[in-house]
Amino acid sequence: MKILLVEDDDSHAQFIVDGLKQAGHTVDHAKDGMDGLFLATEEKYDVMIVDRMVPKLDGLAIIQALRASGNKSPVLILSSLSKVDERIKGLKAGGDDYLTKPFEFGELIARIEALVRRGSLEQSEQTILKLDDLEMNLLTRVVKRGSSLIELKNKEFRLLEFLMRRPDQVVTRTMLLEGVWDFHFSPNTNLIDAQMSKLRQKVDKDFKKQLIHTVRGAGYKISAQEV
Amino acid sequence: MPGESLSVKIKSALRSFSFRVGVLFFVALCTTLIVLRVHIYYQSVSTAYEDIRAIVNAHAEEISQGIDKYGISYVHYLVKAMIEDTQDKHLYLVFREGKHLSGNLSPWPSEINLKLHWQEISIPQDDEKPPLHLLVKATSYKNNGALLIGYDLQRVDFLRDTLLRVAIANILLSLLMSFSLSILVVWLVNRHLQFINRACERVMRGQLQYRVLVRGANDQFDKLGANINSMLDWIATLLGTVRDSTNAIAHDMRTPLSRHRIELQALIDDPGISPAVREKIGAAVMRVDGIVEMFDNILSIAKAESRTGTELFVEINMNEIVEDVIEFYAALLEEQRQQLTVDIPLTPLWMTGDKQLISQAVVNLVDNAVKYTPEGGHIRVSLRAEGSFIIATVSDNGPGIPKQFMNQAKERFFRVDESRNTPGTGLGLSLVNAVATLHHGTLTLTDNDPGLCATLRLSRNIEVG
Ligand SMILES: Nc1ncnc2c1ncn2[C@@H]1O[C@H](COP(=O)(O)OP(=O)(O)O)[C@@H](O)[C@H]1O
Ligand SMILES: [Mg+2]
Repeated sequence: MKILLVEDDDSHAQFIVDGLKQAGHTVDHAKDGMDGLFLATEEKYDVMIVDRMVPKLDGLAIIQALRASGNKSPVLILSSLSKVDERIKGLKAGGDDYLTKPFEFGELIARIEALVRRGSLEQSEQTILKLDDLEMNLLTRVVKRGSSLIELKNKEFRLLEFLMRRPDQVVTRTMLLEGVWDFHFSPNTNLIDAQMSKLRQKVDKDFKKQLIHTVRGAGYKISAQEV
Repeated sequence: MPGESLSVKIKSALRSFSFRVGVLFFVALCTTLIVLRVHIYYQSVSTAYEDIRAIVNAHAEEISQGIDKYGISYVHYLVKAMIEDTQDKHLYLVFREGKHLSGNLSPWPSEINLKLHWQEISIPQDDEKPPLHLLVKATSYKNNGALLIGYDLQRVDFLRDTLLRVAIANILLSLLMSFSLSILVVWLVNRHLQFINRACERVMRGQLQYRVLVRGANDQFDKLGANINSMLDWIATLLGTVRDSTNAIAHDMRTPLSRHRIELQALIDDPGISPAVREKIGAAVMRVDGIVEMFDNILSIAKAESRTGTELFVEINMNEIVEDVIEFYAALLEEQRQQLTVDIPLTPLWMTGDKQLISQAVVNLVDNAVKYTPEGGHIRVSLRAEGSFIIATVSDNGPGIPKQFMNQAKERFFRVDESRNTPGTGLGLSLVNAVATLHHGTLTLTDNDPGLCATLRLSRNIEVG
């Protein structure tokens, strides 16, 4: 993927650029808002990572300018401002996701990938999600693995749906907190693991093939392939 | 305010300062008017009496001069002549000498007491005429002789009657006027104060941009309003500065912490490092995360406490929030074999509020119950409406909080000594308390005997400005 990073803090920039390159992506780095906007209009990027506060031109202003000119590339806003209203401001300006510092690198990667693949399954009107022999009907709320029915509670269903809409993608704990529970604060994240282990008991325990996988240091992934 | 009963409204009106000023004004005006009227009345009546006395005295003088000149019997003649001469129908003259009477009044009025100088007497008349009301001056002479000079008080009575009637009408009218005037004053003062009160109430409710309406009359109400407005502007500026600086602090703290974490993370990923060191660095990373979380909590508390955070208020379904939180903790509760009783009404309880903050408050309460109650404990979560409030309670049968710390528990960073081994920052209940305040409610901690009962009260219908 071709990624643009607009970030003025050197060590953060270095960390992100190194990490992304290691993960096999191409990265352009702009140190201020003007350079960022220039690069974003000159080149085509799969995803842009924009710091909320950069010199010369504010991160939100860059996004607004890009959106106004018709640029639809997904943007992830990076920020040191954690407040929920700041997040809402960022999304209102045209950002697609918001990540506060400090963050795990795995979190960044997962969110970027989710952004790029967004629009495929996530937003489709599909009413039946399928993965291997696991099938979930969003209308009837029937979940089946092969021929056996799986009974899920409300939030377990939402959790599985969230994973199923992002097959083969890493989903982090905070993404689950935000997406499934709409919790934009950080309660005890271990609880996600407890939830996930319950879900696994129902979905994977009695079957040979495991579909829900733990990705160390990042989160979870639903996939028909062994990891 | 709507919803208040009439009697409460009246009571509060009676207590109001402007009403008291109105009453005072009213009483003062009435007293002045009455004193003035009474004075005018006595003044006019006594002047009329003076006049009559003067007429009577003039006749008495003339007669006494006649007596001096011609002797007492001459008076019969003088009286007759005077009666014939006078045009004044109100003048009565009688002279008595033994049984012999002369004059225009007979018989001799029996009420006359010759020892008194001036008397007022009333003589009944025939022909259904009103009795004759006279002011008389009687003088006695030797040999049973007596002279009576009387003057009809009809005019005075008429004057008195008229004056009394006019005065009463006048006082009634002035009473009415001063009453309406004081009501007007009360109303005007109230109206002007209302602008100020309304603005203050709105600002107190967090609508900081609200201002007092200044009408441009340049009176003291306008001055007060303008002063309050500039005070509010100043407060808003200060709050803005505080907000900006907390944002700046958040930014300035998070950036180096984040950098710190990146460096630690890079060390962990370094293959040349021993597992023991890696573990220690891992713990350091977690501590950094803990500091960031603590920082977030402090910011959330500050935001809720500043009462300015109504921008994010939306319609929220409290049942859903509480159910979500419970479901979030369900797996952990099961793991710790804690029993959970949930008492939530079937109909959704809606309210206006900050969804994230309320979720976090409920999470904090449930988290405490789960965290501090030992395995096999019993936790109860309930939700109900009470008037315009929603009440959520989380109670457990764990160790509870010792009575002497009950109040302190809501303070920032407070933790009971026994809890120091459990992870936590001591900010959980402070946040719940701040969230309650933001939603015009309260957090009450009580002894569940055994255990703790936390009651969160939130106002349902906060106006969002
Ligand atoms: N349900 C409870 N049972 C016993 N003690 C409690 C309970 N809830 C709170 N406390 C006490 O009050 C203190 C403050 O709670 P809180 O503000 O949530 O901070 P924290 O949980 O991070 O310690 C806790 O440290 C604990 O000592
Ligand atoms: Mg707590």
